Amino acid sequence: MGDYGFNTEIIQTDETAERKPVEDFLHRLSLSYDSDVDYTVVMKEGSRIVATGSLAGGVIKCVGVEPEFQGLALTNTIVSHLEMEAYRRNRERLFVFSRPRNRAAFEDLGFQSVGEYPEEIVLLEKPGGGLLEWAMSEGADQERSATEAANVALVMNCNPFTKGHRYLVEQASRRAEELYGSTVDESRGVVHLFVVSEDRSLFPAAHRLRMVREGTADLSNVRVHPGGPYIISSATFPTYFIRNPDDIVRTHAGLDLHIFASRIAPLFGIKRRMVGHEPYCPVTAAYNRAMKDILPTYGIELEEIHRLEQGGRAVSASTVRDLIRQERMDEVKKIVPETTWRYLGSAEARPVIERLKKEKDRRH
Amino acid sequence: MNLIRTGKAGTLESSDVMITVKGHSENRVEIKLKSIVEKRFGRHIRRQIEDILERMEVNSALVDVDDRGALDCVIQARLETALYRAAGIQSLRWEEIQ
Repeated sequence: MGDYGFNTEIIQTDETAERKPVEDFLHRLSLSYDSDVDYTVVMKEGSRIVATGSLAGGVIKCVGVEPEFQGLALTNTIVSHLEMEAYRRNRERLFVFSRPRNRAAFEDLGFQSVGEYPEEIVLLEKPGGGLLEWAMSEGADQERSATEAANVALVMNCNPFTKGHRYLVEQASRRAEELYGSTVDESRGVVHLFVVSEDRSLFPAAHRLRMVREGTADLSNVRVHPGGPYIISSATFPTYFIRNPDDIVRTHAGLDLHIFASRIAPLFGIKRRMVGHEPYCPVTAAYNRAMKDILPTYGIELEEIHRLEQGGRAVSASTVRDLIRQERMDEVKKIVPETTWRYLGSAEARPVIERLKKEKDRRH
Repeated sequence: MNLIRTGKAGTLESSDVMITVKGHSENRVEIKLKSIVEKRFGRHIRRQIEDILERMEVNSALVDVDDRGALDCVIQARLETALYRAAGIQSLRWEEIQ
């Protein structure tokens, strides 16, 4: 409909021969065709591609239109098609990331900005208002936060929750208390701990969230929240426009942190973000560097904590995973809290551990 | 008609409309209309949607309408389809269609 002389085709994304022309087309527009794409539509005039767009889960990406065919509203056709496909897949919330100069075009299609890394990238969502809805459902107090609130934020994946994480939460809990604590004001001196919700780690998001809740239940000023799609998710971490891998990480981290600082921090009254020093993982280290650049520009202080060490090595989740794989459970027991240890022995954790032993390690 | 999930129909192309419906958290009808011809036809479109909802006995609905200048018959077709999808009804009830 409305295609005039154009044909709409769906690409077999697992067929290299079908991917190749889309990849070439996007490259000519200085865009990349991401490997996490699981659905692609193209519009052709004859055999020539003139426009394309893709879905990766609930994220619209890799949208490009041949310059000489711009102004024909081909983007509307592409986005409509992708939106209906996402609907068929029961995705009620859609994201799109795009260059900031295309922001108005997507706003016109019903998307609303979640946040922007100026000059680099913008993330939009549809229906709009999802971030605010999520924050309110997690107990954010918009009015108080804008004025008197002063709290600490932690963001963690906890794959699984270790004594290293526990140590960091304890430090944050104490800092929040001594810096901002108040016996009369509930909106001060709180640690908001956001657990990454993306299900791309070995331990499922629901299990990780519960491990963190149980492992911090005794700390009265700590509130545990699922990060939802708004903190370190496949939506806030785009890999779209930039080809240099270092730039990719920088841009990912930047978008995520701009969203955190400009949208999330004001809703939860966050004045300080605390983070564990990262000795091993280069991506996390780059993310920590980006925090140093970006957070202070929003008036948020960054505090890097030296990680808990045991036997001369920082206690890390990847060490725990390695030890489980090598069936050295006695050593695991020494570096996880009692609550995590109980979880690891539960029937629920069994399939996860089986999978862990079979698989090569993933980074996070 | 009871809306048990989100229903969506239509496109964002010129002369079409994209309609998304779901049950309203406060059990009432609310229409969010965005139209390129809102100034001239906004009231007419709202009335048409209200009429269809009433005829199909929908009492709780959040209706999001993104109109690109669709004709009445297009709006009707898109809204009815979105409602059927939201109600989980697979086959058309011809007696309900005018």
